[in-house]
Amino acid sequence: MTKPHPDARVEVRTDDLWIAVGEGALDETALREFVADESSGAVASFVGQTRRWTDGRETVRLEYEAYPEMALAELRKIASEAASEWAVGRAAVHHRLGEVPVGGASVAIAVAAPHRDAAFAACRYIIDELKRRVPIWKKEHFADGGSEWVQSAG
Amino acid sequence: MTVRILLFSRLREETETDRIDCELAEGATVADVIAEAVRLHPGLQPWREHIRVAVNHDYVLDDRRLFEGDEVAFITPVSGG
Repeated sequence: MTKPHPDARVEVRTDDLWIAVGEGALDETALREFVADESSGAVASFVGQTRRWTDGRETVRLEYEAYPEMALAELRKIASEAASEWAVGRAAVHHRLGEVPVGGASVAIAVAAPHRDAAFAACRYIIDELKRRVPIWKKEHFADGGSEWVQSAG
Repeated sequence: MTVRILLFSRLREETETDRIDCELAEGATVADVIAEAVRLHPGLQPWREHIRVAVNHDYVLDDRRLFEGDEVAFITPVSGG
């Protein structure tokens, strides 16, 4: 059985955008601090975290695998699409790879905007599109010893 | 020409490899590389309808022509976030 691709960290950080995909606990505060600036009246954020129970089965941990270079490329496209659609300022999206314990955060997003409508809408768009098309896969490990790759529920 | 296919998650486990190097004729398309991959690894056949193909980090259609050195990836339904 091969190991998952070496999940080296991939990252891009510009004045307006910070995207990172890699192992290690997420720092949600760092994302919010990155996006905040004087022209933004609103910062919307989202955190996806590991549930303990799914359809009566207990999860002990999740494992994330990615095609890192393409995940980064797709996240850049998604952030760019959000910026074209809504009047937003800075955005940050971080996705954790490797093992994530129950209760741990697997994805964190923060978007700043002058007004809250755009911040909420862009944040929602980013997580919805991430779940639809970014090449990252989740494997669920259960208390009963079983494990399975998750079928995306959207 | 040689084209590398990267495999992840279920496909990586199914084939027990994370990459397949394919020899293809000039002018080969994504449809051709899928067929060749399935020929080399018949266990991929049930996944054919569930694979989206990416070339050099972009999703493409089956008629996309391939070139020497292209990085192809078979993307099964994603589950990030």
